[in-house]
Amino acid sequence: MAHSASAPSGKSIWSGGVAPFNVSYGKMMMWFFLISDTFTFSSLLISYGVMRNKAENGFWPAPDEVFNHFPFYDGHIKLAFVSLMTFILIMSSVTMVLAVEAGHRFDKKAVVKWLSWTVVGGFLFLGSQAWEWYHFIEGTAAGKVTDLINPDGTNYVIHGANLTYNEYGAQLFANFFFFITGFHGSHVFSGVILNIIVLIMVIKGVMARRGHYEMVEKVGLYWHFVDLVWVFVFTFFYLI
Amino acid sequence: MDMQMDHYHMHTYVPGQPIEKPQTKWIWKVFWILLAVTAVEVSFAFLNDGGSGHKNYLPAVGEKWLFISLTLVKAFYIVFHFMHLKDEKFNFKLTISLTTTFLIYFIALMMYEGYALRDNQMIRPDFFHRIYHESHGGAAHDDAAAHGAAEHGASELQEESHH
Repeated sequence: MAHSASAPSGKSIWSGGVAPFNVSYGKMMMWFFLISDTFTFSSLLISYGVMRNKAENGFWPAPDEVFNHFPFYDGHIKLAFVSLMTFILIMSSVTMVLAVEAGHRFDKKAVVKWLSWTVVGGFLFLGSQAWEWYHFIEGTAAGKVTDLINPDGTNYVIHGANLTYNEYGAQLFANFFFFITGFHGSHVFSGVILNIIVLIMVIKGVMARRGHYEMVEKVGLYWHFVDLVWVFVFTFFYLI
Repeated sequence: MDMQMDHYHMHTYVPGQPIEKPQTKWIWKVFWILLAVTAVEVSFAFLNDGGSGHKNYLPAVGEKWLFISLTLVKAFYIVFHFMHLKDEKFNFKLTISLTTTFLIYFIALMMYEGYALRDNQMIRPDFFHRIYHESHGGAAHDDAAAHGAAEHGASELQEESHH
């Protein structure tokens, strides 16, 4: 939507009066915020990698053995649910980019349609994440038999994972899982809220009066970033 | 106030202006690329059983690098196409992408740090006790640590040294 920035003749584009990057202040600040958020998520994932490399072999849980549940299916199936979650988030990224494209054409109806689907995708993802957390906290029926002895002489059995113990192996894995996916989930949640606010603004015709749909682009940047972070969380938590 | 504009050129809507036809072919192309790359990743994770040794088409290190490279491919498509970074000016592309490439060095450093922590056992539970005993003339305590005293608490550690 932006054409080339041109400075008055004989002057540098850096001497004021024009936007040298040809990007509005708000959009550029959204990019810079996302860069800072990149470093936040990077440090979280890097510390995960450090502690995983530090752990003795075999002690760290294999994620595809931990997260192998699927709704309405009793058996175990590796990676299926998290692949579905990835698909949901990629799909909502597509609907978001369709909303941005419609905004470039000032097609209010299409913006409302695609932004609404993006909100739906966001809620679907959050629901899936809650389901995933629930099963991780509940654990398996068999649980892990520890060498601690109960007063009645039986062995103490732990089920699932929380901030104190983890049935599947290293407790630190549970801490990282809750923190990193929780931090990402809170980003998804605030993204959904922002999308809803912008959707209401679009419906009320604020963008049409303003003459452009740049606000849709800005929340779009944020939403794609959330998708991008999930791509990395998916790789480092579930695939490797 | 709505008329306030920044100092760059932007198409604005003129009431009554006809709405153009959607140009969404490239969006779906990127979608299929992202989906295909994810499918390749998941099927590799599914087929390559890693530690169990039943089916191992690729050694674990190779699998790790395959996943990381495919993830970077997906990141490129999301940032440059979905986030329209390819349409920005060259300097802006550089501002955004060059800063993040320094992370690669940080990641490499910290992964080796993790292995070093494992091999040197710097942060075992008895680390500070060992330092304490060593500085108080208890060199014999290294044997206790080597025999798995690391898993015991501090009080048990001291008791053992008395026996």
